[in-house]
Amino acid sequence: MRIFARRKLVPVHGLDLWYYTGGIVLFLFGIQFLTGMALAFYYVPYFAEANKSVIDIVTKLNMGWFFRSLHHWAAQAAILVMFVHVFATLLLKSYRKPRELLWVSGFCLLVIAIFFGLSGYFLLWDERAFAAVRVATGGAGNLPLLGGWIKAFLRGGIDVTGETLTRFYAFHVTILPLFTLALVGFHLLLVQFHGMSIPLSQQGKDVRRVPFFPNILYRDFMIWLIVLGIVVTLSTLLPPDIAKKADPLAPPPEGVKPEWYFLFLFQTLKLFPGTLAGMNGETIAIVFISLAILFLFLLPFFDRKSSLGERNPLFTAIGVVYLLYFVVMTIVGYFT
Amino acid sequence: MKVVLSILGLLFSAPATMHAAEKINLLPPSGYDRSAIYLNLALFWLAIIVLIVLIRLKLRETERLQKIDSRADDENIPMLD
Repeated sequence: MRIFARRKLVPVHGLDLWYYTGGIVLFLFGIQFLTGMALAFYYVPYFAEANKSVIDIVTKLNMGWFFRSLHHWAAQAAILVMFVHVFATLLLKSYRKPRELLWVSGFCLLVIAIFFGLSGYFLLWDERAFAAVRVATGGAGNLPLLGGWIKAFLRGGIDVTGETLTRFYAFHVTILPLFTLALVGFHLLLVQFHGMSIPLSQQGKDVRRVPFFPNILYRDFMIWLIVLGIVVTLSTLLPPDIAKKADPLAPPPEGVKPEWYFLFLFQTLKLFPGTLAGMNGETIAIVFISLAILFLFLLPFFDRKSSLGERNPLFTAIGVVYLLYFVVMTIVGYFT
Repeated sequence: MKVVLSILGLLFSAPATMHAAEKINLLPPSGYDRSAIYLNLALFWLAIIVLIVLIRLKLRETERLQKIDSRADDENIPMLD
């Protein structure tokens, strides 16, 4: 282990700032596990009690409001930094051969993190979360062939009910953490095996290498401290709100919006008309979105030029289009 | 008249208090507790800054020693002549 620690070198160049985003996500995942465990002691995963138990955590427990707020803000930050990490990997072509599996495992981790967000949001059992999960699971149901099965599996029935809460709780506290641990382990193992990727623009230059232990680790610590400070400040100054308890029979509240990381999907769905060429517009939108995500997932296998160490402006442009679409649609969704 | 006014008062005040009851205090309500929270936040940032400065100093020292080591290694390279 000591020999490994001494031998592990990290390239230093103008774009090495992006290397730290992965470490930040790992640190935020650590906060999530710790605060999540503390909250699980007091949360009641039963539809009649769930909302009240969250209110009790916030109002009656010593520092309960802080743990819940930290769990919320660390989750938001983790998903945001994961998006930054994925887009940095995409634009710097760090996914190129032999690191395809790193991209695949990282992409799966992003999907899991988003599902973590959705399932955690639903545990509040308030009217906004209820409406958001109804829309999200309903959207998944529009997928051809498997859609109906996915929707029923997620909801635990025809509609969103107390059964859905039980399922989402199981996903949030057991299934997703297990997958996350396994995938993070695999991802880190691959990083150790392949080493850090050097961007194509830096290849051929005399890139200096510094030891990971302790040089990079010290830098990681400094960045983690700043991230911790930001997350704690947000948790203290802006604790997340709790809306009215969900009523499955009540109409959805007006102006309800999904979490920010779903806004680009929400906005895309709005672009499609109700019917298109005699087919359900939402189904076409879901198919279109799924294909775009699948293409992004398999991108390293299409980008042959970058794998050979050559520049590939086409795939850089594709990466920029994906990034711009995500950012613009999220902003539009937020302000409309 | 007093009875009518008190009934009217109750009628109008009940929804208002109900609405107030729905509002959940996301932070401890008392001013003293809140000021303690903000003070602790300031102290927390102070501790973070001190820790960052200490790590930065340690990192500089490590890099300085690594440079000296690499120079010593260069000087110890056996020459052919």
